[in-house]
Amino acid sequence: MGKGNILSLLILTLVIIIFPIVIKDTYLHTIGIFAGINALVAIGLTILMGYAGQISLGQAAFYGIGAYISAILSLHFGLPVILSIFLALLVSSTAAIILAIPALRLKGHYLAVATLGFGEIIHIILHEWGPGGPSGFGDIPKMNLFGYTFTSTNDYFYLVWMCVVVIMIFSLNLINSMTGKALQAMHGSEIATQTAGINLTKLKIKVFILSSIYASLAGAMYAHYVTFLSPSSFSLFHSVLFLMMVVIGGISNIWGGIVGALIITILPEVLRGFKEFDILLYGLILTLFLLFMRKGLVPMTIDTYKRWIHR
Amino acid sequence: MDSQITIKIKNISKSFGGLKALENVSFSVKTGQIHALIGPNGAGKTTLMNIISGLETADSGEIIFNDKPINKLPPEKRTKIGIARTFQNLELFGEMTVLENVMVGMYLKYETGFIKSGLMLNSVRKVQKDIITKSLNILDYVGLNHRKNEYAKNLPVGEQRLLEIARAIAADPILMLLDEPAAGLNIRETKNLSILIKNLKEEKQITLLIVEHDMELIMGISDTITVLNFGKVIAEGDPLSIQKNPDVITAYLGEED
Ligand SMILES: Nc1ncnc2c1ncn2[C@@H]1O[C@H](COP(=O)(O)OP(=O)(O)O)[C@@H](O)[C@H]1O
Ligand SMILES: [Mg+2]
Repeated sequence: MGKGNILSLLILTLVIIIFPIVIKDTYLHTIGIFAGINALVAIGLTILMGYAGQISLGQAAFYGIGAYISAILSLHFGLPVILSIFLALLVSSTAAIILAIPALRLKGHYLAVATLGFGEIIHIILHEWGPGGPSGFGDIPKMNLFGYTFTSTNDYFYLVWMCVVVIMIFSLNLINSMTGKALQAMHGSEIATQTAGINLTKLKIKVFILSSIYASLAGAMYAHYVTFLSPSSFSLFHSVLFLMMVVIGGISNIWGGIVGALIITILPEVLRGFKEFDILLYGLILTLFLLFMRKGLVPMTIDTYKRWIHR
Repeated sequence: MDSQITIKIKNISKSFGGLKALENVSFSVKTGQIHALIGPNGAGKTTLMNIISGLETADSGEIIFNDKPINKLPPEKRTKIGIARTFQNLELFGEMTVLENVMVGMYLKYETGFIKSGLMLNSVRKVQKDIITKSLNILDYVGLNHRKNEYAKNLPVGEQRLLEIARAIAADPILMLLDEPAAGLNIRETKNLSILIKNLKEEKQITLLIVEHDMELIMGISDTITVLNFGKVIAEGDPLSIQKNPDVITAYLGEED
């Protein structure tokens, strides 16, 4: 991990610690929690898309599997929350293997459509067979760790963002390791990657599993924080939102996942003041981002900074 | 006798639709030799390279590497047992640096799983350092050290071809397949390439199978030459006998306008 990443991690940690102390507004803490949950999904999606060169339009499915499985296991089967989360990650990993199978054969648009189909299937399953069907279910147990039950907004803010920091450290290590280089190589040339002695099948399955684990961890956090779930939170719309986060933050840098998640989560709240024009403005801002910041916010900021230094 | 043969191509045939790209091709590459595979465009040379490295499957026939049939092995396994290659249509990792391209070539020897890598265990860190040192040595060897931090896509063709060779060296192969390594190179670059190829044979004890159109290069470095025309072997021998072979002369003259 380079100096820039270590410095960024330190700043992030500092901001996380200070934020709830300086800002007392619970409403802002709540937005912060949702931004953190989204960031978990976006970091995984950045690795999958930006580094490994795959695509997923079904990431909300893993998010939903994480949420539903963990909620059902802790609510209906009385398992400890932490064990439920762990099992949810296992189930999600299995689903990721199923999704990775088409990815072994498909590329680009075809893979996008296949993952979209996968997302829809999971959405329909939650809709038809999930507890409470389309209207969902509540009373999901709160997060509980070593006998301590997380209740306040503050608790969840720190929990979620601590997960983001840990996942970020793990991801940065991974990206900078030989495994990360193999993933990038696969993006560059599959033929050359294979003839360099790398098993593409294994690598693709593993990176899909990784991104599904991040997404389902986020889903579980969501379930035990909100304590109410319905299928509408895990639709294609949410998969597209995750995709937006990654693209706007910058697909070629995992910090882009966090920045994108912050923007996509906070923007609608800021625009709320514009009443009926909010959707219009939201669309306009996103379009401007895509038009003028193709590479995404983080990579463009880094480029600008480098140019400024070399002046 | 067979123990002196690194790779044996046995009755390989391959069709694309109605087109017979390879018909009953057989020849052997002796251990420690530079073996050239020449022939006019479309003769089937690249197709044979792809079959040897596992990117294409033959319709019939067998590939025997170090006395073992390898037909059923996927490409990555073939590299692991000692067959590395370069590509006629350069297949570099363009968005990665020159150094990283070589490092990827070494992955097969030092694979660390996702979890170990993510936790950046001490063992992983050590391996990483080791890989960087060795990769830099290889870049030195092919003369690309001054380019190590540049993106591969930004190199001129000549250096891209060298980088492909460097990445193949990184896999520490027994047999290296080079598909038109001199294409797009100027005279000086070609001269350096011929020295590098000889060094691969003499210093690194790598057996080489080379596809190439540059006759001066081929005649200068090859121990044995096999000539392919329309998917069939039409001649085999040392450079002198090939130059005099009437069939070879017609095949080549027939191609020129
Ligand atoms: N994937 C393919 N599909 C169809 N035809 C192919 C394919 N690959 C090669 N060919 C054809 O097979 C013949 C041999 O090609 P190739 O092995 O590339 O020749 P060389 O490398 O000797 O120039 C050519 O006629 C070529 O058009
Ligand atoms: Mg060719």
